[in-house]
This record gives sequence, structure tokens and C-alpha cells, in this order.
Amino acid sequence: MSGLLFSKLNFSYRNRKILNDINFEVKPGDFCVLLGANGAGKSTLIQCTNSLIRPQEGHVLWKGTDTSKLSIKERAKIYGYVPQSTQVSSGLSVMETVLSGRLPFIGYKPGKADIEKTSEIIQTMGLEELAFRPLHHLSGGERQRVLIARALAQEPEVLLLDEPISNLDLRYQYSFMQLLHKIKSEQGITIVAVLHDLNLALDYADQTVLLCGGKVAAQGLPRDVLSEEMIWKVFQIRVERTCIKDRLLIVPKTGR
Amino acid sequence: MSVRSITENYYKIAAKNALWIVVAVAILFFLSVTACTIGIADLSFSRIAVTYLPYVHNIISAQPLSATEQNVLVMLRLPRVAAAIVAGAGLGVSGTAMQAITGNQMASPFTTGISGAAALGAAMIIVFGSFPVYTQKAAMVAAAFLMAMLCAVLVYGISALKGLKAVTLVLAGIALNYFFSAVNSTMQFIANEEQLPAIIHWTFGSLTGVTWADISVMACFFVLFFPIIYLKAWALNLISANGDNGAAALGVNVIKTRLIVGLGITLITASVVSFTGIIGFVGLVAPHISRILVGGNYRQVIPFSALSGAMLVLVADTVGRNAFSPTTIPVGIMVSYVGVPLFLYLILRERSEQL
Repeated sequence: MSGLLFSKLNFSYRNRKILNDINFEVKPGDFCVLLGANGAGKSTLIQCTNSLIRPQEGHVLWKGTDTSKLSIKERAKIYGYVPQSTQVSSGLSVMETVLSGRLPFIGYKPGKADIEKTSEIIQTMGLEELAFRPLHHLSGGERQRVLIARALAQEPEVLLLDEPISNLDLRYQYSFMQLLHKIKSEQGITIVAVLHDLNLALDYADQTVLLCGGKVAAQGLPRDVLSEEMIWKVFQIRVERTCIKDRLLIVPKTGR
Repeated sequence: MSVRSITENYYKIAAKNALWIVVAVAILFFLSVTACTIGIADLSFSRIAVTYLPYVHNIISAQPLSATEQNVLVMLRLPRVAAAIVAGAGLGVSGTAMQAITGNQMASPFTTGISGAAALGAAMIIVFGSFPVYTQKAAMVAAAFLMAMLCAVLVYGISALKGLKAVTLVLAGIALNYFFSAVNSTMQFIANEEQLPAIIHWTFGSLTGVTWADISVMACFFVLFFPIIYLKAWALNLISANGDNGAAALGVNVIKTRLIVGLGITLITASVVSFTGIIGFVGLVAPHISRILVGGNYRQVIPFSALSGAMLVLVADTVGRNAFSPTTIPVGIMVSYVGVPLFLYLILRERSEQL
């Protein structure tokens, strides 16, 4: 069965080509990492996926359906989205924030099943102690977990994450990636995430798409895509691939 | 904490919030009864009770109200109290909804320039209208309402050209407010000595002379649009907290929500302003008071801002008509004198609790 298919996607903003003929496919249940330099079009591509931005040409198909043609609510049942910024100007509690992820399923008032589902997700995400605290009292890492929980409350088939670990310290970066791995393995959710850390992509991604100037420069298995030559081409930095305890690592050659 | 205890805690907090609403309704009822008893005519609670409630004369010994006093109660005090409640509730809800759809906590029902436009409508009738005295008021109400609607159509229309974004809505509103204020100032400039005080007095905002018919019109708009705004509470939570894209990703049709809620705000506010003149501050402060007391969820903030707005206007009007009796200070002025100290107290209390 086909998964998430990007077909001939083009998007320009004020005569500047942001996405240029994007074509690739993510298999259902895969963890796909989008990599590329700043301004390569990664966030735009994420937002084109769930139609927050409308591409001028091309389509995004999920299991053969052009999701841009679905209603906003139907689309929210397919795609869970966690934005780059975790700054949320809300007085809602953690519980209410996660519950708001149930909006595509409810009319005006959440039912008992919605509240129980939310409680389950809060427990799964280890947020029990924070459940009734206001969201704006939480640290960046805690807010990140809450926003992931809210996206999971949508019961999505695809999770779209825009730089989900950019605000997290090293410990939280790894625990967050473990969490995503668990979500993918246990719930079979397809994940598309923008990352900047090449080593995390090597560790966790099933598939990597390298964007350069709005085009797909390379795609495939991370270990194949992230060659020294390709990294030089995309990031303009010399790196060395090395193995430590059977683990492939990318180390920049520049430095003091 | 187990799933069950998280769920139970959620229901406990929901019940506590519902209790807050019940308490606020009880306080509003108490304030309303008190407001009816305060004034030049001696209409004490016991005399009102003896007059209207059966069997009470067996328990309380008080003189029933005379026919004149009953007229004072039914034709003067009660309409004034009812008008304060409806106007305050309308402006409170409209302010909350406007802050939600613009994601801007400085927004108020007048952000889209409705007040300036309504004032211009009233001023045009005062300066150019040659209506008989008994139709003058109706003409001013109609003109104020129509100008407010025209302003809203222009603001939402201009904003729609740019995708009905919150920022264009606010900026177009500010621009048109200045425009209508400039035309209104021109009216004041060309008005004669009799017309000028009338124009200025209209902008003070007053409940004097509001009739049951006026109240029923305001109440109709409120009763019609309050549930519509309330039903959009979750969507408003998401728009105000996450912006347009964040809300759309969670299944909210942002433009449709902004249009429907915007229509409700416009009609409720225009109807209030047309009958009472400009009562500022309530629409700005009632949402904040509500958020401080019941948290940030619009499912609680919307009904609570209706109640806190109603209480604020009711107390302000009661103080305004009694503090310097027999002179009545317009409620539009008094509401700031009453509301500002309360608001500052709540802000300081909240900040010190957070430290």
C-alpha cells in the first residue's frame, strides 16, 4: 500500500522558488527525517503536507488520497502537527491542551471517551504530575512533550514534527527521540520530522530526505544519503564518517 | 497517577468551575436586588418583598410600596438594572471573543472601530437630522447601529482581502476608528452650541432613559449570539493560543470561526452601543478578570466574562447615580473609576502569587 507521496510539489513565495519539483514517498510506519541547510524548504514542505500552505503545483497523497481536498477536520484526523515553536500563549492546563487535540472528533463539548483517551495519553507521555498545571508554567522540554501528546490525541496516521528537539538539552533530545521511536513502533504512526542533527538521523530514521535549495538532493537510507560528499554539497562543511562501537557517526572536520 | 484519577481530577475541576459560575450568578442577583433598593426613593428590600411576595407580610412588618413607588421600581430602577446587566454581559462577551479571534489581549469590542462609527451615526442625526423630538432617539439609535455595521463590514471586508488575518483585522479596525473619529470631530466642529453638548454627552455612555423596549432589542441580539460564540469556545482556545496555522492543524476552520464570531461580536456590541453610547473598558477588562479568576479556557471565560461585565456595569451605574445624587454620573465614566482599582488589585494579587 502506498504511504505518504509527494508528487511534483512546487511552491513559490514572492517569485522565490521555495520548493522545486519535490518527489518522494514515505512508507507507512516509517520514520522519515528531513535534513537540509537553513532556508532549504524543510518547514515549508512540512506545512504543505497538511495543507497549512497550499502549493502552487503538485499533490500530497496519503494512501492514494489527495489530502488537500479533504475537509479541515478530516485532514486533522490524518496529520498531527507539532510546530517549531513551543511558545503557546494560552492559559489552558496541560490536560485541556492535550484534550484540544480531540477537536476533530468532537462537536462543541468533549465526551467521556475523549477525556479518558486524553488521560491515557497523558499517562503514556509521563505527564501525570503536570496534568493540571498551566501550560505556560512549563519548561520548553515539558511543553514539547505536551504538544506531542496533543498531536497524539488527534489519533493521527502521520505525525509531522518541525524541529522538535531544537529547544531541548542533550538528555531530553535523546529521550524525545526514544519516545518517537516508541510511538512509531507501538502505534505504527508514520513520522516525518525536520532535524538538524545528522547523527540522530543516522540513529533513528528509516529514511532520510536531504533538501538543498528547495530540491531533493538525495533520499534513501540515512547511511547511504549522508555521505561525506553529499554533506559537503548541501551544508558546505567537510565531515568525516567514523564508526565507534559499530555505530556510524558524522564528525565535522572543522574546529579548533 | 492512574488514568482514572486523571479523569476524576478533570471532572472535579470542571465541577469547581461550574460552581464559580453559579456563585457569580448568585452575586449578580444579589447586586441586582441591592441596586433596585438604592436611590432617592426609599424602596427597601423588605418593602419590595412585602409588596410582591405572597405571605411575606406575615413575617416582615413593612409598608408596601405606593403606586408611585411601584412605578419608580418598574419603570426606572428595574429597566436600569436590566440594561446594565445586558449591556455589561454583551460587552464582556464581545471583548472576550474579540481578544480570542485576534489573539490579542489588548483587543476589545471596539477594536474594529464600532464605537467611533456609532458615535458618528448619532452625531449625524444630531447635526443634520430634523426629526420630531419623539422620533429623535429612535433615529439616533438606528443611525448609530447602521454606521457600526457599515464600519464592521468595511473592516472585515478589507481584512478579507488579506485572508482575514488577525493582524489585518486589528489594523484595519484601528485605521477606520481614526477615520470615523475624524469625521465625528468634524461634526463637533460644525455643530452649533446646542448640538455640541448632545454629541459629546452621547459618547459618555449612559443608561438614563433606557426603556424596556430598548433592553429587549439588546437582549435579543445577546440571547441569539451568546450561544453561537459559546459553541465556538474550543476553536477560540486554539486560535488564541496557537495562531491560525496551529488551530487549522487541529481541525479549526479559522476564517469561518472568525467570521461567525465576528458577526456575533458586531451585532451584540452595535446593539448595546446604539442604545447606551460608548461604555468602554468593560470589554477590555472583563475577559482579563475572568481569566484571572477561572483560568484560560474559553468554555469558562466566555460565560464568566458575561457575568463579570454585567456586575461591573451594574455596580458602576449604581455608584454613578447615587454617589453625587441627585446628579447622575454616566456609567461610561464610572465604569473606569470602579473597574480600574479592581483590575489593578487582581493583577497585583496574581503576580505576587506567581512569585
